[in-house]
Amino acid sequence: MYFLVRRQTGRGSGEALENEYQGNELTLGSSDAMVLLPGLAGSLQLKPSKGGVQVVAKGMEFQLGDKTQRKGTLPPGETLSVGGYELSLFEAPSGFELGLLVRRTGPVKASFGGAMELAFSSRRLSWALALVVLAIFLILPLAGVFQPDVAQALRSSPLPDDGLWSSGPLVAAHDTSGVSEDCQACHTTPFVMVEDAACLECHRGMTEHVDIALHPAEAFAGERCATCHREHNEPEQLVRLDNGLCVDCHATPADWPGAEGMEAVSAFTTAAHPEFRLGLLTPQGPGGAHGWKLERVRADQPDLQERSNLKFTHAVHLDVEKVQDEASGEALVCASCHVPKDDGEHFEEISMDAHCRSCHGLSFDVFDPELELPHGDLRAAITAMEAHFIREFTDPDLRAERAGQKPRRVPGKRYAAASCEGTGLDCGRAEALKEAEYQFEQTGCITCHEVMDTGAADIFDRWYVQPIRITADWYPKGVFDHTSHLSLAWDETTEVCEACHAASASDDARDILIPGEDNCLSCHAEDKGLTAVGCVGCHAFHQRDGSLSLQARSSPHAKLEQQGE
Amino acid sequence: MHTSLLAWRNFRYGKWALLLGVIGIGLYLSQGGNAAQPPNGGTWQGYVLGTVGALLIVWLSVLGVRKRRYSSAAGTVQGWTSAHVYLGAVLLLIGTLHSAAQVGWNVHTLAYALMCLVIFSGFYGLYVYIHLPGHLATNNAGKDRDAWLEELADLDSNIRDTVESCDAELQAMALSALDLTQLGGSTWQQLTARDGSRIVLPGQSKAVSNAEQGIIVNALSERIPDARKQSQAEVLNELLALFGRRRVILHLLRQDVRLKGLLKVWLFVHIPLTIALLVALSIHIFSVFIYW
Repeated sequence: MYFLVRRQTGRGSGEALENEYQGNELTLGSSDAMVLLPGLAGSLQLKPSKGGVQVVAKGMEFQLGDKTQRKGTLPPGETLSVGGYELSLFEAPSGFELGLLVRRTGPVKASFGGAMELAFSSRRLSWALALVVLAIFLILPLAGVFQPDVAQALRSSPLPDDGLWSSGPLVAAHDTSGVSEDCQACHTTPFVMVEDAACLECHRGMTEHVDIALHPAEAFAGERCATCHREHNEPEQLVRLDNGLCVDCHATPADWPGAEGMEAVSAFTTAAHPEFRLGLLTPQGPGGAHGWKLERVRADQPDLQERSNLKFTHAVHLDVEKVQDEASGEALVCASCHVPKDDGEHFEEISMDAHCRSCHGLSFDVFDPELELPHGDLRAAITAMEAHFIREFTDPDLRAERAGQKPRRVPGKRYAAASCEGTGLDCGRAEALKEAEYQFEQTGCITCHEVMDTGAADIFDRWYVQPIRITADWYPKGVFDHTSHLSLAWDETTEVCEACHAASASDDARDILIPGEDNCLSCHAEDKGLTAVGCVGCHAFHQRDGSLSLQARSSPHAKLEQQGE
Repeated sequence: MHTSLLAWRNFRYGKWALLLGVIGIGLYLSQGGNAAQPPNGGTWQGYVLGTVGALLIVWLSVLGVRKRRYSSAAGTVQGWTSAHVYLGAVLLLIGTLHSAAQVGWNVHTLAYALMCLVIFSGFYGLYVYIHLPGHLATNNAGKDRDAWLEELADLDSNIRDTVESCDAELQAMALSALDLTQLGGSTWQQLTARDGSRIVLPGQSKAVSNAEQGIIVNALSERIPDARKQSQAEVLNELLALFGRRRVILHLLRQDVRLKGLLKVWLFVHIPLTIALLVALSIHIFSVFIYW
């Protein structure tokens, strides 16, 4: 069908423009319409009907008569108002189904369909973001907290887990399987600070600072492992190295009346640090017969002596005129006897077999110089002598052989009797007694050992060889790395050692060759800008002789104190 | 208006923010004492900074609520906005001090990153609030957008009438230039003010770019010397003047749309990120204490 649209132009009053359109309906709009009406917010569809034309509006409403509506019938003679335009019908010429007159009544706004305002929804985006954050960072990880299976599944998948709640890296030791991915390994109870039990689950051998049986431990009650050992820091740090770890308490001994012998320490300087305390072994009973007791005495006390019961002089052994290395013929060096342990601090134990015997052999019969006494067991030694001599004088062949021999005289060895009148048993026993007297009283055992003559008739009870106990750890509360100090630039290692231990000048085994505080302070004083070391350079919080944390922290004692807090 | 936003009540909130920042730095520096715990959100100073930061975030978010409560007597919106700007800026410092610049792939850094994004988008917002109203006033030359649109509509209607007397070819071309004019559009089109207007040239079925009405203006000016009749030349001259004016108004309107868009667009970042921040902040606090 054909439509005729008459539009009044802007210029002149009577002038009009007519256009013909063809189609099933007539559309009007600001764009994409047959009749373009600039500024129209929506569009209109017109279809001729009985009694005028049926009008349907999209995206706007129109005014017809007194009513505002979206759908209606415009009869001839009436006017429809919409968006600054008036539409009315006129009698269409023949051939046209509809004649429509369009008049502009007011100012029109141009419109080209495009939005002129940003039509974003902050609300929708806000919801979306909030839900994404909530799901990834809360709901999924939280599901794992209540359902271990879910946690397991999440952690073994790329899905988010409670690792997203981690506030920082773990130290390397904890960044290991079984700990690092399992937050609940330490965070066992929600909303409760990490408890000691979680630490001690793995660290069972950990010791406390003190032995709670000996020292008042209330200072540590209420403190958790995590009071000092904080994880998830940057940079990773779990072990405190600052002086405050120690001096927060040790600077003011007056605050700890129960801590016997505690002296004020605030730094490692002459003024701020007390003299070291040697761990001196004091023999109990005559000649240490009842063992040794560790006593800690200040190293600067005069006339301190080591009482190991050993007869020995460093001076002689380091004098090349007197003692030479068996293999090279050179002078002995410190390391000939003192071999550092793997810890770099302590030394392998000095033993007769390993260090003395190659020179100080225990041969006792010049006729049989290869044969040696057993060491370290007085009864075994006497038995060995008796057995040897009785055998020699009892066996007729041996006795004849011995009588015919003229052995070379060995300095320091008794020239044993070659022949004897009497039974083999008597001769053997007599020779054994003579040899024992010689060994225990003149040269032999007595060279290195303190031997007491008890005067007893029985050969087995006649002598008491005092046991030897060489101090293995002079400073039990401190650590020292010999290895790092051995790198000092001396030609001979002995010189390095003698820089601190004046061994060449020591002609008495009782000399204490362990340096005191001054020696360390000469290089490491904190107030001289030298190679300063802090407290933990030498001391550890967890003491070797402290109570086991596992026991101390769960003991009724500790619990009572915590409750008292 | 913009100077008074920052200078409101003689920089009252600027001074508050400065004080808060100085206190925050002091607190941060006082964390050196405890060697078991290097500076971060876990020291007592860190907790204080975090609490202040969290309260600031919540309070700053409330500006959005206060703005919509026209009847509220809780301070003027201008005062709130001034405080919002200054305290929001100092929040960047407070949050950074709280985190001790420690970052990782976790919810804590998410909250921090969201906070930074919100604040930086806020800085952008402040920048446009200060600078764009002036540009907008210059651009619109004392008339508002509707007035310009009306003038454009009049102009177009005038062109439609005028072009009636021209040959069919020019008429079709001019009408296509009108019909295929583009103004506004997608967010991107609005913000770039790129002119996507097109025109159908005679004898062609596909439309080509008519940016800044360039093609039609050129076509008209080329036809003027060829006009055979004085009246034809006059019509062409009139059309040329009309399209010239149209070009100016369209350009102006596009700038208007762009500037108004820029004034608004940052809020589509600022507000959703703020909401996400509030959620992340809550999870941050929750997660710190569930795994204390």
